Amino acid sequence: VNATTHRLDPDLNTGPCYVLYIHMGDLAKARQEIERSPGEFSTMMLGQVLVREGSVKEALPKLKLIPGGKNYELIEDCWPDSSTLKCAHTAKESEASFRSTAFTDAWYFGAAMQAFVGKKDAAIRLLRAASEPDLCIYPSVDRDPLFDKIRNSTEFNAVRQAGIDCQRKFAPYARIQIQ
Amino acid sequence: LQKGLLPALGVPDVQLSVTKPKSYDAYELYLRSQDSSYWSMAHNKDAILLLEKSVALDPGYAPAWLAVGLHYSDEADFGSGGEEMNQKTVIAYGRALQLDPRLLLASTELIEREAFYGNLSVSFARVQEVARRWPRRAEVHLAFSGVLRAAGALEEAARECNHSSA
Repeated sequence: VNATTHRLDPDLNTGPCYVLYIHMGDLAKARQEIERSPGEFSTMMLGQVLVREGSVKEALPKLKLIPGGKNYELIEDCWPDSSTLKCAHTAKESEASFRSTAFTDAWYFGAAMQAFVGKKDAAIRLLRAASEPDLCIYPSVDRDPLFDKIRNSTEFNAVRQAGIDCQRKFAPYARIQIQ
Repeated sequence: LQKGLLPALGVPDVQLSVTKPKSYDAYELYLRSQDSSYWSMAHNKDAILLLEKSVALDPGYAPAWLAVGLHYSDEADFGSGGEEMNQKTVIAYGRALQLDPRLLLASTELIEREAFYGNLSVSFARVQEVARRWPRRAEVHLAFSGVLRAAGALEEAARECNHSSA
């Protein structure tokens, strides 16, 4: 019952694990996992880690590797100043790019980047969109420093509550154990 | 073969299957698509073109369907594919499984798609079914970790990934 991925196959590419550790706010462990799984996607996720650690410039070339969601352009045009027209345009494009897919986890990461650059409304829309088809964004949102700028807003707390409700709804499933 | 000889020969992602290639040209296209250079977003659409030709020439070879599904999946999630590409992904994995129900990667990829494309309840049911068929397989635990993460059960997801006890 306690058999786990790494024990069963130490060589398996463990992409979902480093994404998980970012959701958990355990960036050191995310880095460890990324090192075990070299590739374009893991390098982009290292960019996500670096932004969360405050090393934004170092993150930029890594974010550029994955075009979907336009994270690179968003940071380039909106950080550290999100008050420009260029930023407003890019933020809109980034949100639309994320919404062109139905991949809810990507929406979560898109929301985090929008929140980081101070685009609260876009961040809330993406979080809400991710929550509606049952991506439980709680407790990830509580452990993610990129939401710090919008954490105290009413809208954030409403969507966070939806995440709590989602987690509660699936709690019985989370007790399932597999061989 | 899949865990030892093939990775040692530099072909880590080839899936062994009960289906066998019936067309030399289709198989050659499939093998070309396995080159690591195609696992970058810049060349993802090129890989799709190769594999679409391959499955058109030989629609009975399951690994080619799985491979095209993996590239469709990247395009849907990180490229410009959107919902249409997601549908193609699901169809390709489904076709691979129909031809060869023992292709575990097709099953685990479908589980993760359901979890992150709005069918979380279904993905819990499917992961249990797959775990019963393939007990003690790391790939299934990894997929289960993704499903648990989608449900906000982060600690339980970490248990499935558990690195420290490796």
